[in-house]
Amino acid sequence: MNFVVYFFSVITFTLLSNCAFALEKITLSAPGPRNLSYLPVDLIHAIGADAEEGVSLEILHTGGGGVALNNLMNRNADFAVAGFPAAMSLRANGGDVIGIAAVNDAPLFVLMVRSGLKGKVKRIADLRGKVIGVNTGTKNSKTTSQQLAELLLQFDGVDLEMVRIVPAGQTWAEQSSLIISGSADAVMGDEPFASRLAKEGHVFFLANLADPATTKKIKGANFLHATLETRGDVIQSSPAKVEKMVRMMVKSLAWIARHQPIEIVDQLKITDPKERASLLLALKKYPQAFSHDGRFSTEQLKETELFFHTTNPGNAKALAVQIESIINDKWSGRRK
Amino acid sequence: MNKAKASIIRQASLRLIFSLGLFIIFLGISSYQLYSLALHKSAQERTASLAAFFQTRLQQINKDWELLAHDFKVRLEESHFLENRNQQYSNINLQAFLTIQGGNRRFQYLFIQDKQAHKVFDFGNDLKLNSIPLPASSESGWYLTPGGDLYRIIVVPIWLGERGTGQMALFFEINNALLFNLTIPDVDLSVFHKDNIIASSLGQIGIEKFTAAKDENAKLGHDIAWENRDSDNTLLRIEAPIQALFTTTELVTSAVLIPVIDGLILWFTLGFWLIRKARRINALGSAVHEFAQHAQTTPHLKTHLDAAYDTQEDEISEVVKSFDTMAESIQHFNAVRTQEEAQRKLWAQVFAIGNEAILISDHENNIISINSAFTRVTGFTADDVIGKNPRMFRQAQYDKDFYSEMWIALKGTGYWQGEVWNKHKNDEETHPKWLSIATVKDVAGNITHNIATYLDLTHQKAAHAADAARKVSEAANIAKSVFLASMSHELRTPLNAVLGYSQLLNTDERLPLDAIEDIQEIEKAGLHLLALISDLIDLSRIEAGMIETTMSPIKVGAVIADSLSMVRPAAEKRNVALIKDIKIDNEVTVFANHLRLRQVLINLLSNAIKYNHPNGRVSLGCEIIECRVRIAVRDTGRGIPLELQNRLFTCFDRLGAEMGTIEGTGIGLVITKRMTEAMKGRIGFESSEGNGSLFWVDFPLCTPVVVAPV
Repeated sequence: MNFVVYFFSVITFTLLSNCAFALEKITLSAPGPRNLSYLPVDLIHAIGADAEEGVSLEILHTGGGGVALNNLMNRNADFAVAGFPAAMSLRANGGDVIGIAAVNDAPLFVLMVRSGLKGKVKRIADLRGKVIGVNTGTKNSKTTSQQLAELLLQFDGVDLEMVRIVPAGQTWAEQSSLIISGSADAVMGDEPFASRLAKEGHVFFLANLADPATTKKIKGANFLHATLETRGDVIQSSPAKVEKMVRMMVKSLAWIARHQPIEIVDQLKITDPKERASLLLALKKYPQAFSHDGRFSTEQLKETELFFHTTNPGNAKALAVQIESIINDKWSGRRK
Repeated sequence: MNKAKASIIRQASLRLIFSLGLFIIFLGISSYQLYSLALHKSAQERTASLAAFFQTRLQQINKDWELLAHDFKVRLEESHFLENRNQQYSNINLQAFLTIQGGNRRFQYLFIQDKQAHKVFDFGNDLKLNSIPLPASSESGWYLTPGGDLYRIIVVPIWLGERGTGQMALFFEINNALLFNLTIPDVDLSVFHKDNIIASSLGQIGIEKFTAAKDENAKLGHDIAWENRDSDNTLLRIEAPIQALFTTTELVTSAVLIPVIDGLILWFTLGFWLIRKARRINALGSAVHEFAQHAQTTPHLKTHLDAAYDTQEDEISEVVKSFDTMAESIQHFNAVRTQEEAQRKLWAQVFAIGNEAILISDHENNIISINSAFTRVTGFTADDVIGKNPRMFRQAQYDKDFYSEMWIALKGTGYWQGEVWNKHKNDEETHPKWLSIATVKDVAGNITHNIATYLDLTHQKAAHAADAARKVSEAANIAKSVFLASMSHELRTPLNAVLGYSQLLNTDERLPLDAIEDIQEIEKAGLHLLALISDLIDLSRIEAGMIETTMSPIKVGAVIADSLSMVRPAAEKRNVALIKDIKIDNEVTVFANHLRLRQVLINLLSNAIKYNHPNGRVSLGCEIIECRVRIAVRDTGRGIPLELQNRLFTCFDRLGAEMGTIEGTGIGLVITKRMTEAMKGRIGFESSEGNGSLFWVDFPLCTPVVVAPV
């Protein structure tokens, strides 16, 4: 009798152990690291949301949302966090991408100009003949920052043929190197890198989407930026995995909503004082940056579609993309 | 009571259906397994054909990466950022330079080290390396990170300015995206490094699928080395879903073909077996039917049994053999029974129609059967005697001892016989009968029947008496003939003396004329008496069996010529023409006695001349008819009336001629007939009153016939 009890105990323990230790691997690609717009991605593992779901989350950091989406399309990752206009661009080019949760609540882009051009470049129109860095894109998708940069330039009457667009990446090293080396005259930068460069005197801001003066002249300026995305085949074949991913992201967003910027920075265990300070500053500067719950906003989706269509005038494929057709809010939900 | 017939065919069908059901289930399982094996085998073969293609693609990628490395080396050297004029400035510029390359740079990590393998610069993924993780002289190799990421490293020398020539290593990650872009539709690629899956063109799903079913997947793919020098470490596995490798038609055809072929094999094997068995059973049934109809072994029965028999000696064959034996036994039994039946019928007929009167009594001596002869002999019918005791036939003249002795003999020897005199039912006179009684016993020796046979001796005794009388008569006749013969001889001797002396007297000139005339009358009477005596002697000899008839081949022509010459004087005397009509060769012979044959012909010719008209004709013809030589004598006399013809060959009966002037004895034709028959010849005649007569004799031919020309 004792032997039977012992035997079944061992079996039960073994099975439970296997369940406990066999973490499901999920790969997510996103720009970064420590890019403010994509900070919820870095926090998932930092707050242990992945472990709670029995998941081992691997993050493939890239120099732009386009590359992250490329990883998604090329099966390097099953999920990506990228600007939704970039995802729409990919969709317009045939990519099977679906938005499954909102990450940002407001787009954080700063058009910054290297300090050496101060006085020479006072407005966007002065960028004519300059080298402008944007988030790294791919052949099939134009990053949100590129779309935004082109929109701002065109809005101010700058022909795109009169500027040189170069990849700028989405990390501090990449964006700062372009500015400091003078390889780029201006960069459509991300936070907190833009604020840090400005604080260190390397750049000045020419336009900021957080500034109403900038947004008032851009149609759909309150578009949905960072969004959790996946492929249609993943939804079809692994809905449980999608559900877990959404839940992890929502947990991260909720955690951010519940915590102070300093707690967020501490949780990320950033050791570089400058990086730490700039991130803390950015978090304080943009308290509305993140979605609180991952739910999509119908109004914001409309803004996003408007923005996308505005940035792609004359592109029939882009204009044909309906944003609702690439949204699946089954797991994250919807708000007004 | 109308219980359903337990048909063998129905039972066999149910069992066959049940067996077939089981067979189909197992066939389905085995077909599925076989089909899967065949598909996997074919898939492996087809993926093997893809291997050459992907081998080329891998060579292209490696070459491409090498070219990219050399290109970057040149571009970096040209930028002079690595010449260490200002380290910070250089690093920022290098960072910016590489950032601007964007997605075009295609490598995930770049590492530059000096001659002493000290790190100069790195860019890209955070691999936390201090030097290139390859042996010093290697131009390429692999690096597996602690996290399990695999990189292909391409190393090229690079100018570092005052630090001399260092090394630049570009790290190309072997990831899902690489395979996703490398593959072609419907083909799955995986990379394995030291048996661990690194990446899959299907992404994480492919990796998980392999992890979940590692052993099974290992059987499906076709592995090729990433490069020949590294065949043991890094492999590219090529897999293609079966649906991608085969068309729907091929899959459906293959899926259907296996069970269909199996089914056909089953059908033909089982079907032919069943048909053959059924035919044999059917043939056996036909044999039974055939035997039931004919109750004997016919050629058809043999054919049916041969068709039902098989050399394998199965149950049907055993039944066939048993049936064959049974049929032969029954046939033998039937033959015996038929024979016995025939015998019984024969005996019944013998019993029924036999001349012997038979009476059968049972073991209690009650009469159970009599035959018709019994009724005929005794006058008693079956109704008179059946069920009664044979003692009803006892006669008073036999005392008790007679019957006691009879029963003692029967019980002792089972047989008794003796002459008894019984009365006929319808008269009081007793008749002689030969009574035989036999007992029939069973195997135990007990008497079951008594069989009594009566042979009526009345006629037999009369016949014996007649025979005795006939023998007495014949003896007397012979004695008479002997007497006549001897008497005729005794008569002829004195008659010859009378004739001799009368002829002497006739020549005596001393006698007066009237005495001469008397003497001539004596001579004439004597000659007549001599002729009569000669005939009587011949007849007597014939009847006494004393006539000599030694037979030998006789030339007929010669005998005829002799005979004609002998009667010619008499014919001339009566002015009767003799005509010879011979249609045979002179050499033709018959088997006869020469002397007697000539005597027969002379008798016939003499009669024809004697009873002819003056100036009449006698023709003698001879011809061969049916191997016999016929000699016919035809005359032109008055013929024989029809009513007298039956008396023609009667002794001394001259049919009224004795009233005329023609001399005769009345026994010539009788002698002729007896002589002819004594020589195995035949005699006949044709005659009608006023038309003459034809007498013929014929004898067997004993030489080859040569017909003379007419």
